[in-house]
Amino acid sequence: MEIERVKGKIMEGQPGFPRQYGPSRSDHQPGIPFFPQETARDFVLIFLLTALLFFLSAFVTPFLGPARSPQISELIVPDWYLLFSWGLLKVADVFPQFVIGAGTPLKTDFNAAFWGDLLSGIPVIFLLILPFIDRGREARPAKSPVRSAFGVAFLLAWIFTASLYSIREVVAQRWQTPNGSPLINDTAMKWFFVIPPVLVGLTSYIGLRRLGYQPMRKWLFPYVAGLTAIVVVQAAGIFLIPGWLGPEVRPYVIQLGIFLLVLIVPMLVASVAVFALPESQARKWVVRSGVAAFVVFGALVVFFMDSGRPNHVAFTWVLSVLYPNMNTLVLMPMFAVLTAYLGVRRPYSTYEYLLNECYQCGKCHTVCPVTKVEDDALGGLNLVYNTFKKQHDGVPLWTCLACDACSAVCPLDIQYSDYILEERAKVHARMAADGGGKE
Amino acid sequence: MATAPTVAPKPPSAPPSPSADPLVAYYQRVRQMNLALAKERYKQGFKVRTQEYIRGRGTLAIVDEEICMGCTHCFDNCAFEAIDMVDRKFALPEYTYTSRKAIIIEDNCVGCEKCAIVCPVDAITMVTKHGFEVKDGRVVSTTAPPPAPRPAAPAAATPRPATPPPAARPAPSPPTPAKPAAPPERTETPSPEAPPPKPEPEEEEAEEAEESTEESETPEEDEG
Amino acid sequence: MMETEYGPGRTIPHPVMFRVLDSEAEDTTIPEIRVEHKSEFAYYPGCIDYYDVEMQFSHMNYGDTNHGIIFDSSIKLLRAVGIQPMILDRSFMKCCGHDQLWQGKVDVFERMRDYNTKIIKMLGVKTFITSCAEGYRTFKLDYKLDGVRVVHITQFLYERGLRIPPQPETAKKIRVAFQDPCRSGRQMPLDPVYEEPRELVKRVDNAELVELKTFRADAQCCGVAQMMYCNDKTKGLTASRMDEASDVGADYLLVACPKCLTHFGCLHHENKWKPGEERYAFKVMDVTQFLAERLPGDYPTGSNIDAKRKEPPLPGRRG
Repeated sequence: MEIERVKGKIMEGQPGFPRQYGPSRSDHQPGIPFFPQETARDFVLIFLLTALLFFLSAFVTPFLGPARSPQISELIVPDWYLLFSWGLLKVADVFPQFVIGAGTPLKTDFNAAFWGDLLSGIPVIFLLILPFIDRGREARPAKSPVRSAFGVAFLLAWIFTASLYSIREVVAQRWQTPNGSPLINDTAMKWFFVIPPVLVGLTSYIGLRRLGYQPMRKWLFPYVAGLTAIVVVQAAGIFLIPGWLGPEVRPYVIQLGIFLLVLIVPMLVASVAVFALPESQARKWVVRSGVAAFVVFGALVVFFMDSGRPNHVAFTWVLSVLYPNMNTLVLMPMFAVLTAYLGVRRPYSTYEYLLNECYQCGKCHTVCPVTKVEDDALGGLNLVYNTFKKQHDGVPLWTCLACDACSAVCPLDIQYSDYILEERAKVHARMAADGGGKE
Repeated sequence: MATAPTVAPKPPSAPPSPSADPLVAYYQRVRQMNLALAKERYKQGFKVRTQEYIRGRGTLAIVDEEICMGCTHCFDNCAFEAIDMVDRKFALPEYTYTSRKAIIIEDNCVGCEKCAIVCPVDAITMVTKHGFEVKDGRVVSTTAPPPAPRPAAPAAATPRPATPPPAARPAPSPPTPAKPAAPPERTETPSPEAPPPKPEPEEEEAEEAEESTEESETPEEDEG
Repeated sequence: MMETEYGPGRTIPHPVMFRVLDSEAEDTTIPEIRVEHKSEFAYYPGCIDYYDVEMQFSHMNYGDTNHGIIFDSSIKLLRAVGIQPMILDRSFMKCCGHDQLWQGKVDVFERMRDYNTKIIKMLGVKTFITSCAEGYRTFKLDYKLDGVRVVHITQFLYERGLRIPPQPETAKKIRVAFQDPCRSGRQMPLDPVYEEPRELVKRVDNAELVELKTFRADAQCCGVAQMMYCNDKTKGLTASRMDEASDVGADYLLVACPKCLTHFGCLHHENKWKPGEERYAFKVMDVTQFLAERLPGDYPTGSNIDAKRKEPPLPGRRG
């Protein structure tokens, strides 16, 4: 009976009361849902804009000038923001070309133009359907590593390499071996569509997961060691297998060896560090070896470029080995070291984003039991906000009871106990990473 | 069921073994086995705990008032009436409550470390008394080497008739090893006039110092 | 008060107990398990024996704090509703890892979780019954036990329709208050254990359920969640909670979480030590013990009280 009397105090079923706890909480997104509400408004705007464009194009015709053609200009490129599309059209002939349903009204011609159109549509399609496939709670890139890695890999790296491919003629013309053939051949450029985006994606994933305090050793070691193995095997192949090195490059094997050594040593250091050392040590050694390799590589380049003709020629021949294998010999060392660093670095708080939602209503203070007994927290400060600001509020990390009274009343659904879980895990992980700690 | 307020768990505990029902036998066995297991495992942890503190004639327990929460564990466990509890009042806006604090009666304390072991919050540590110091993990006297004069500790030397135990107990400063060690110690003692009681050996400090340098070093490493 | 920022190395109380519990995660090889009585209903007693051993230092285990009775009572109650549970005992199960998780030792927790999950799956458990609020939360939320139903024992007894026989006419009227554990209440909004223990207590016909000042989702914490912090401040919270029970004139303060029982019992014990200050004239016990005492019959398990000791010793030595 007493229960009936105070039923209004009980908060289940009311909006804002959390239903699920823990970092993988998926329910109850605060804010307005995307599909019916946001889309309706967006469609209105889109249609208005389209109508405006139709109107303008019908009544105000812009002057376009004559179309570009090979007769007028040698190199045809679109504006810079469409270079990726141009590159995709150029690369489209790698796909099989065939015709389905020839002789029927449904005849479809899978030619290079079709594949190019499809490829250039993919980024746009991906952007368009992203809100529908991703219904998760987190919109912030740092908190959804898979999505962010895909985004970085395809929306940035892929588009960049596609743009690069669109000017392949310029590249081929600009960098040449002493005997006049292009340094970076077409096959290497085509592989740019695959290997750099994949490396970028994996690196972003590992870095972002580490940002969220995941121990990434299990990912790191196979990745870094695998890249190292590939590069080492390829370097060995260059030297040992007779056919791999052209007769022109033979005289410059020593210089080539120096460059390869500079590329391989930091990878080996990173692999060993990631495998064997505690985290703080591993971080130091990876950074040291990476910076050293960078400096040495730069110094070598400057030395060979500036010290007379024979050295310059030697450098060009070395490049003629390195550049066609750029996907592996140059990019993989860079990404191995970078990933090793990102995967062992000390992460910073991702919960800053979450706690940022607090608008200091102070409800948590009124219910927090600890603020009732801590002498200096009696004044009525705000729990979440001040914890975020690292201002002592009587409930620092180790005093909190994690009783969740604050989360139960929070109008913005901030899970203070999640924060406590993460922060405590962070302290403990830091102690463990630095070799044991007090316990 | 007969009388509701009787709280005492019913006496069937006395004969745990006989029971006809195999299921009941199973429950009883599991129950007793669980308890025995807990005790056994606990004993292992407890053994490690007993290595953490120095003990012996020259040691004394001290209570950290900040940490002590007045649970009376140490009070209940002290065999020498060397611990008393004092009240401390907390006055908060909404209510007041008293919490007790343990205090050590130094005259009675024999340095048996029992209170330090049972303290659930690590509020009690063992320190050396004035005139003693920790050397190689043992408590030795810094003053005169005590070859024979046993009456130095009259209060603690209750087991008077048994001469072997007292001889074995202050093993840290037995006559033979203390004698060669004594002369260099005399020369050392004047400089640290009153050595403040260090509860922990230097190990801990060194570790902490190392950690702090590590802390200060890494951020700049990160930037670079 | 900046010194409260110090790390966990100093503040985690009960160092021996946590050393023991943490060390369980070191060896995760699965032993050969022979369960004599297999059943799809499994009862997991949790760490209550370890609390008992920890508390034995202060002789409190012989007084009114007796966690082992939760085990005995749970089995008795489950048998009363016709369930013969399999016991997931500690020789092959590990600690659920709740305390380790909330103390930040995620690696320890994960090892325990993986091990326990493997064992639970291996034994084919369908309904996992726990008498511990923290275990309830941990097994339900932090473990991924697909296909296993995790229930708190009061939920299970309620849905199975536990009947408490009428108490004798001579039985005194008692007032009973219930402390809602944070872990099974606020932290489990999908499946909170608010109503079930209350309903069960109402079935005891001479018991009148009284509510404390704050209850259900508002209930104040007992003061020492996850055994993380144990000092004057938290003791003040415990005291305020027990004062609330005094204010409503409760004869029994029931809890559904062994840790609440530990800390209420600790304060209870401390106040009994001074005979002049009998503030808390009520009994603190687990809800399962309260219900089991109202049932006829013996405990099907033994009990962990030392057989040699008949009377609880007087707390303190000074007469």
